[in-house]
Amino acid sequence: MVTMLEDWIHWFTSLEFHQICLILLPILLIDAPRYAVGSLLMCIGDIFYDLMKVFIRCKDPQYDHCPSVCIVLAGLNEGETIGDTMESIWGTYPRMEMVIVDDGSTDGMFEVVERFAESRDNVICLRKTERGGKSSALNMALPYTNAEILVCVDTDSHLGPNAIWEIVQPFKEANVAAVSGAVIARNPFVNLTTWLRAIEYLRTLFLGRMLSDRLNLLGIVSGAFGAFRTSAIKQVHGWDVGPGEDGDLVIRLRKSGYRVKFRPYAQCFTNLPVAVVQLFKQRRRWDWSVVTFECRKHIDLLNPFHSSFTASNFFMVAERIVFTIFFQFAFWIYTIWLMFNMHQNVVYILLLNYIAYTVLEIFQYTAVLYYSLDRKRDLKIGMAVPLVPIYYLFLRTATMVAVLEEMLTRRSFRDNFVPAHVRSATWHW
Amino acid sequence: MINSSCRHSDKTQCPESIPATEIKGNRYPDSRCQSESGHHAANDTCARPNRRSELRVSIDNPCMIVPVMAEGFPDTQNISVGFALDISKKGIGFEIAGDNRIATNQVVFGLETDDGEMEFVSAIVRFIESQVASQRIGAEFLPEVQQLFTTANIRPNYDCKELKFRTGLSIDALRAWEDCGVLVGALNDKILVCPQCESLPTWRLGCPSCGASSTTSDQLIHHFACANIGHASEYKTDGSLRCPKCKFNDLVVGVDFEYLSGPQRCHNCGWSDSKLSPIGNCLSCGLRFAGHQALEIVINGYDVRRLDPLVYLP
Repeated sequence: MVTMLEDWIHWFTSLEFHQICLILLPILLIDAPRYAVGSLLMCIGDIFYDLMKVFIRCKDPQYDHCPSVCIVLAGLNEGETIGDTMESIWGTYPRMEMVIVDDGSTDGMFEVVERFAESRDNVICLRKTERGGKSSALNMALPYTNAEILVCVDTDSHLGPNAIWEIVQPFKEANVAAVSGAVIARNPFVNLTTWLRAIEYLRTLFLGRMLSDRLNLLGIVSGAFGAFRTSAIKQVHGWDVGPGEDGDLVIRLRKSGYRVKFRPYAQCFTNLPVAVVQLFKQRRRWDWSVVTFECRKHIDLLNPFHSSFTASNFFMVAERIVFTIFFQFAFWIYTIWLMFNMHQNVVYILLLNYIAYTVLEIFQYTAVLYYSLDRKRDLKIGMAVPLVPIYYLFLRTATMVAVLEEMLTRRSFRDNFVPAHVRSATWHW
Repeated sequence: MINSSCRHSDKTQCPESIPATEIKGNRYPDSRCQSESGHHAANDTCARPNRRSELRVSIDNPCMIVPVMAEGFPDTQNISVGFALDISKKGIGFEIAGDNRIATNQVVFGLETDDGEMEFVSAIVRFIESQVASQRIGAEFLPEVQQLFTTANIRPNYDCKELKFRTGLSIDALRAWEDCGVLVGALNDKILVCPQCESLPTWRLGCPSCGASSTTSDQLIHHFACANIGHASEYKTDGSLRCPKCKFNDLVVGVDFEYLSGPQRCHNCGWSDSKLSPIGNCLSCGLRFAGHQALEIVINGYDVRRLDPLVYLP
């Protein structure tokens, strides 16, 4: 082992700068610019800002915006979890009503909801006799509410303290139509899959979206916890058929001239998939939507002559297409090329990439810890950071599979996420 | 066991043998209580054909006597226990310890049966004979229609005038009799009544906000292709259906869309929600109230084990 390490050091020191750059091309092209550099710059900027606040004794802003809110919970066969979810939300905000939509459950979910509603005013229970998919379930709530803000929460999630207060604050600005909350893992330590997934959530959904928000490139609002201006939602007629309906809605809102914000401390704790197969399926479903929506349905955002063209929308879509599709292909082509052309040093190259990725991850995770509300827990989660490069290799595989099958076979329109009668009726972008 | 002769060996102990003038403390003088001859018959029998024509049977069962006060309440302070002496089709004789007078003329007499249960009957005390440490009492059973625990008195009946369920005896009196162990209560029903006057209301679905009945339900359409859910009126164009979201024309029900029942709307106050609430309307006092404001009352019926004297007779 020591000899191998010495050999590797000897090999590494013998490399020219351009050779190192060539070997680390995927990191330098994809991961470093997309996440690491931006995150670190943002973090350093915030550290200076926070220090300035200490010096000038600036007070943190209080919650001074209190619009009426309608919590929408749409679920299918969530009888076991929805009771706790409703209890965790109810009463955390003063001007609150709740609409719960049962999308044709058979497990007694509606009875749980009705029991909850019996003793509370402003709770509306809706039941669809036949499953129509998540989008139609969410849309069904629209005719039943006149609240200013619609907050969608997954039926198996719990909200953190003051989450509703946090998420409604950006709506002070009239052109903000959607605000994404941060989705945090509730079960990070079940197994290695959930542990690594928890790191990914903190890195991507927490830190990554903070950065996207600062750059006005946020193109998605989490389905697990997101808030929308009701008038804007009604203006675009709600959600379209999924999968990927959350991202699609946000793009349509942005096309209509609205802004989308992220609120890192509006936190929602959700259960992560425990099995690797589940994770693979979920990941594929997420990545199908990049092809379906960004590459097909909303490709007009790249057209400078289109009426809805804006620079931020252009960069938002371009970023997704370039990083999720183009560089995925590039990564695997490069890897294969590397295997063939430098096969005598493959192990050294992999080790170099691994070390580089790990260092990059440690930097980013340090930034996560700076913003974290629960540093002790997140530090424990961060213990698995050295395994993250391997995990990302797995994710890249899932992304590649998803992109290919969606590009070649329109796989998303055969997925059970949407019921068959809706799949057959909707447009296959 | 037919009692053809007096069971008392000591004739002085027999209430029938005592001349009327010697009866002490008979608060309810009745000519029938008084001996015509003033002494025992020559054959030592207590039977007096002209006074007690009914066949009597001697018994020796424990008994209890509950005086009946005004409005049918039991006099729980003066419940007496003793032993029955004899029973006939029309009355019963019994002996109770102590010299406390039975406070009222009307009593409920309970006789313990062989299975240990008590059976009850309403009776009128006809004579009382004080002994040294006891009293002997003769009571006549009241006719069926005058019994205290008739069906009308202990079972709830609907009063069409007051729109209430009522029992002949007051609920408090019935509860007092239940506490005495005479009546056995059983839940008949629980009903929702007017919170103001406790009369039975009529019920209908109406606006939970103002109680009005003038509500309509919107019909919604779910267009499968774009997941839009909107009011049916938004879809209607010239003779066909057109999705307001995706502008798809000529929608076919079942293939392209489904109908969903939409929010209820009140024409009176503008309220809107997913479902109507039960609204009560009291026909007695005219109060309109929401279902959750209604008063739930328990309708109890009572039962009594009736004493049938014929069981003891041959």
